[in-house]
Amino acid sequence: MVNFTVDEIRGLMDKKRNIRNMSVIAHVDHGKSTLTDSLVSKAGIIAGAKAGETRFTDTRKDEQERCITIKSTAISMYFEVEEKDLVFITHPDQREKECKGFLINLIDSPGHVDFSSEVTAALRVTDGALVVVDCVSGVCVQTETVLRQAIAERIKPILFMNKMDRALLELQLDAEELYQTFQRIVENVNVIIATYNDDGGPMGEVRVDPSKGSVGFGSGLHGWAFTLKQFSEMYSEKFKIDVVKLMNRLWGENFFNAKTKKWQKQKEVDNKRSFCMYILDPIYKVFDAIMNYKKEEIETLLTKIGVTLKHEDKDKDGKVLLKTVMRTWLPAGEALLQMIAIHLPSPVVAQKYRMEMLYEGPHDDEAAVAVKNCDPDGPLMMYISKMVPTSDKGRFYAFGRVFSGRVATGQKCRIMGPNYTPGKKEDLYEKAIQRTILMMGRYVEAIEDVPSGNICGLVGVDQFLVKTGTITTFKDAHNMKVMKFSVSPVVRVAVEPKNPADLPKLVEGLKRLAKSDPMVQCIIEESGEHIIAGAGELHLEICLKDLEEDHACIPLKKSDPVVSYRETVNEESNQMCLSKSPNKHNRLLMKALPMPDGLPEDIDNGDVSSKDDFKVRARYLAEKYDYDVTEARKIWCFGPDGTGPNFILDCTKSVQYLNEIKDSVVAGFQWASKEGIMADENLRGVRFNIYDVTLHADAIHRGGGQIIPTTRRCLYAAAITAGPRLMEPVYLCEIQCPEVAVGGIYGVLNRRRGHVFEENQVVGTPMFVVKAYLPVNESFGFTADLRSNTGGQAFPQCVFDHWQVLPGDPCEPSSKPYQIVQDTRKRKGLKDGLPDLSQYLDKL
Amino acid sequence: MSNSTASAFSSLDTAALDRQTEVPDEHPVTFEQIWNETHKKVSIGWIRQNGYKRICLQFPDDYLPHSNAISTCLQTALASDECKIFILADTTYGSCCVDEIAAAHVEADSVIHFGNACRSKASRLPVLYLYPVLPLQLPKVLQQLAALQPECEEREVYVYLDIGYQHLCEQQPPSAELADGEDTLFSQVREVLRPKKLYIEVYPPPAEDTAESKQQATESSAERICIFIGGDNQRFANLSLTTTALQWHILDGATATLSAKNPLTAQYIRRRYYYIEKCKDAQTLGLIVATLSAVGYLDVVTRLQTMAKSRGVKTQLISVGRINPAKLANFLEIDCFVLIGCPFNNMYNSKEYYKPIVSVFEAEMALNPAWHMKYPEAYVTDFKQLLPEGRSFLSFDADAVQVQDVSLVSGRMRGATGSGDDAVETASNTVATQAKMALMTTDTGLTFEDRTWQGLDPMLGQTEPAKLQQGLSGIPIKYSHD
Repeated sequence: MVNFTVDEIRGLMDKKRNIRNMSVIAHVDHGKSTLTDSLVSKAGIIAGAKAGETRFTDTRKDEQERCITIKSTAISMYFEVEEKDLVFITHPDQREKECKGFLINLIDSPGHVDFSSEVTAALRVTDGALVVVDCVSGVCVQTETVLRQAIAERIKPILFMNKMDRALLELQLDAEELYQTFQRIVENVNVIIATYNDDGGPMGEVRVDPSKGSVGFGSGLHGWAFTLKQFSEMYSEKFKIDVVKLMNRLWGENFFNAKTKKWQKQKEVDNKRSFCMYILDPIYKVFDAIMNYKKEEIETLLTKIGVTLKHEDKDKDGKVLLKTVMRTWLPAGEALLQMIAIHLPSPVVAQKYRMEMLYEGPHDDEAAVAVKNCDPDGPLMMYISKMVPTSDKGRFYAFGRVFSGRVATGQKCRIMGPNYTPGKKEDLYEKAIQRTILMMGRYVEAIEDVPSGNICGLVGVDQFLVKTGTITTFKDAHNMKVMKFSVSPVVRVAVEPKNPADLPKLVEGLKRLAKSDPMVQCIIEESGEHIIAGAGELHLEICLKDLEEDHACIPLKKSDPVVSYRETVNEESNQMCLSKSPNKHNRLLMKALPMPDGLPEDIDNGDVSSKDDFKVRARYLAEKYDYDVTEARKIWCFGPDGTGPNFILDCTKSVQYLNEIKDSVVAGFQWASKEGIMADENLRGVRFNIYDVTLHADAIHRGGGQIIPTTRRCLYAAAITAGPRLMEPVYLCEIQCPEVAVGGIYGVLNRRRGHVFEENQVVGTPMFVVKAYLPVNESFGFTADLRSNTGGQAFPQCVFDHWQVLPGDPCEPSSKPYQIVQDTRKRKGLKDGLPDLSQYLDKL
Repeated sequence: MSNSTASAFSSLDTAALDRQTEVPDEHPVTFEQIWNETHKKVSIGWIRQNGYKRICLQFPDDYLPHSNAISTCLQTALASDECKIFILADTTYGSCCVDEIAAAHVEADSVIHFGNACRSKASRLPVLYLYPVLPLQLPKVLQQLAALQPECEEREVYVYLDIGYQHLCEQQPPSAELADGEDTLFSQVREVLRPKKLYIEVYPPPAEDTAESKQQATESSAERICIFIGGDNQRFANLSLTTTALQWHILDGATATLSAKNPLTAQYIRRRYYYIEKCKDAQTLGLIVATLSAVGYLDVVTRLQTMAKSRGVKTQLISVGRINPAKLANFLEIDCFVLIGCPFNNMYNSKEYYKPIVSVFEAEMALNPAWHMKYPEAYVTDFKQLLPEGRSFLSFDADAVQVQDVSLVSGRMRGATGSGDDAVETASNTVATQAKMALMTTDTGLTFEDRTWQGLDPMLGQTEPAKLQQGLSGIPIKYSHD
């Protein structure tokens, strides 16, 4: 059935200009997997009639059952592009001479926001993205998110308007309305692209344009699709106009007057929009004829559009016939293939501008140059973006992209984890690759070696990497940049084995789970709880199921979902906090104060970081946040973990031996910022100033042992006196629903401390989009609650957005934060009640 | 900041004056409890029989008020034997251990140890343990025990006697099983509980091997009921962690109240698992030797060093006396400490320490691949059990070590580099080659490269010689400027 062999694919891998690495991205339920089927069936992997129903790339059982993609799945396919279409590929680096074969490495990604880490992982290893938009619901929140991510990763998008069958059959839009819908979606998409992409940038113009053929229309479910190119080719002979010129005429404000046979630029009474007239009208006619069983009309139409039905199809009617006819007339696979081959970049083109985004090291070293040139003879540089479970339990294929050189079975490589720094040994392994394999959806094929520009899997690397990493043969290579996810693991559950003796199995299972998902965090907390943190309820549900059934294989007890909090302060310390060292010979004087709004986020985003040059950072802080430049230059460190959104600042004047105790103070600060004073949670947005330090004259009496615990005590005292507060995570929640349901949404949100900040109607549809902030803590069961209150019409998408101060003073026994603090303390086995300032503050 | 908030944390200045000091949980002992005629007879007999001349009396802190009286009493009684009696008050690690080093300072030839004892085998000096004699209202106790009757029926019951109550057992040897009808503790308890089998044992056991053999003899250990007569103290914690039982009961001897408690819960083990993970994460382990008398500590050190080395983890042997947070925080580069001490010296749970402290057992679980995927049935607080011939010994196979692993604490990969060519060298002090003009290099196995302060830059020949000045003298506490 499959109309290509692994050898053919291997042959094409060397023809790097004929490779297209692409991902399919979209909002949930916009039809990615269904559309992907069209290409898979064109490759002969599944039967054409089954395309759209098989969802071949949904490989897991639960994916098929729930009809939702959970894991991204890669598949490599071989296609031949016809000579007449090859001429459209003009860029010399976009095709090899004398080669019709194209290798398409496609990754189908999940649309649900909880799994968007899978999208990020998919985008990293591809160069182009097929953005699928349901033309009935239009551009949705997740469309925007994934598109933004794609642009940020320098991935070139093309657009596909899916579910045209619904627009025609269910909504019964007339041609002009449908055109307007399309036009609006194209505009919306281009607005998003324009927001995040600079046209003068290295990627150049990436706008999608129907008249260029980078926008497709059709129905994945029915297996038909077209671009303006297809229709233009049909008409060009009749009109005696060049195909490219005609494509321009077929979109936008171009009208044709059938009577005068003249093209016009404005709408007039007796002219008609060319897109409606030449493209939509024939489609409408076919739909109308078949769905209304107009037998004779069907006959004439079929001859007109040049479709001859096979013998066995002749008896069909209604929808089945419609599908068959449309699929024969405008095969989706063909349209998609042309869009991909013509408009998406080859690795040669893409890696030129992507290198600087991908590589952490100097942009002129051997590795960087090889990546830039996609050089198969350069040193190997491969990025592993995710782990794919094998049939062998507990083992994984490391899935990634070869950016330069070639990776081969048995080759000895350096495996570098995300914490590797050149010159050090941490997170570095030198091991041989056991096997290289080709990912084919549900199957894998062994392959001898894989040259640059391709996507493949590796066997025998999984034990040296947690989730991602860089594989290289170049000794001085730096890491490829770590991926940045658009979602955060803010929802947590604690798990424990039903049978306590299964604990080691659980621990082992958690380690496997940590590998199998790009986003999930598996942690043991000091309280002895085994925590799984995910992006949302659905994500956790899947993770827990995988853990129980595949990774740990033991029955589990699960806690209710909880969120983790952050500790912060809301004012400057009301007194200078003094702490003395255990030997009473060293004194530290500090104060705590909140950071200005926006600064913690800047630190999270890396706009302000420990890696910056201190002068540059100080200038940035001075300009944006009015910090004193001299003070801002003396940030000692960020924390927790050296990078977190808190810092400690040296405001002292000429203190002797100060640089000697810096390491100790930093260690104490990392400790205190990781385990806050109120509830042992991380600190967020707190700035500590050291005002004065008295040190013992003898080095032996001001060592780490004296300074580290003292720093911690002093920081705690400073935090307690600065109005401690708790912060909770907040979701940005976008809900789409018809107008009647809006009232119900408000009710549910109000009950859950949510507030709506934007509400508008999707133009051209009866749908409303409500945007609201909703505390994550209140979001458990939100989807179900919302559905029951709106008659199942509202569907929310929640993404972690920001941290928000929980109103109320945690020191006030009647307040909600106090209760949370006490609950957390109890859970962690800490002493009840509030911390006692006198334990941390010393008198002079 | 508002005043109300401040008052929630800080108290009035005078509060410090009114503050009560912490009263020890156990009731203060009376002189009669720790020194009666039996004690006197036993100790004098022991001294005379062995002909000891220089005897140390070791007291825990709360016994000290009575130490002088006891010393005088012995001195008078032994006046004819020209014996010298010394009082040891300050203990290095814990009052339960025999302080042989302090005893060696006075060249003692024997030690009489009072009060709480761990009975770790002393390697250098002969020791006589004297326990206090605490009163037990037996009728009341039996009345309390009656409540357990339904539970104990058809099960094996172990009764453990804390050190204050061991006299109950000594009066009538437990082997008097045949003396039916007699009013022994054994028969009385059996009468009340009607168990399938009854054992009465003293804790800590007088000699190490006896308790062991008995524990091995029982098969259905998870089904038994254990009763501890004594307080809810370290000894109970120790015993109950190491002994599996269906249910533990504490019978407080002082108040004769009964309470059920099971410290060896899944929750406890899970909590310790966190520290075991931390220990696995450690790149540098600090082995704290907090005992000097317990036999086998050097074997444990060697064993831990071997295991650490096979994982590419550096070790550092530390002896700092009684540990406290300030002392351990001086070792900034050490990721995790292993406390090698007597089983009663438990300080693992304090949050005040900069880096976690684990027991030898936990370190063993972290480092020995034989413990991988194995759930401990009971805790091992006595590290001797982990050595060959010990009850919980699992042999260590260096080839089975798999260093690459995901840490569930940091979420990172752990394990040293897989290149394998860089065997980690242990600490060595070697005379350096002449070329660098250095006398000696100290390679402690620790890297200080992450520190920003690397010490003073000598800038040889670039600075003016300074004038001589009067420096500081004496101990820091007497410095005038601070």
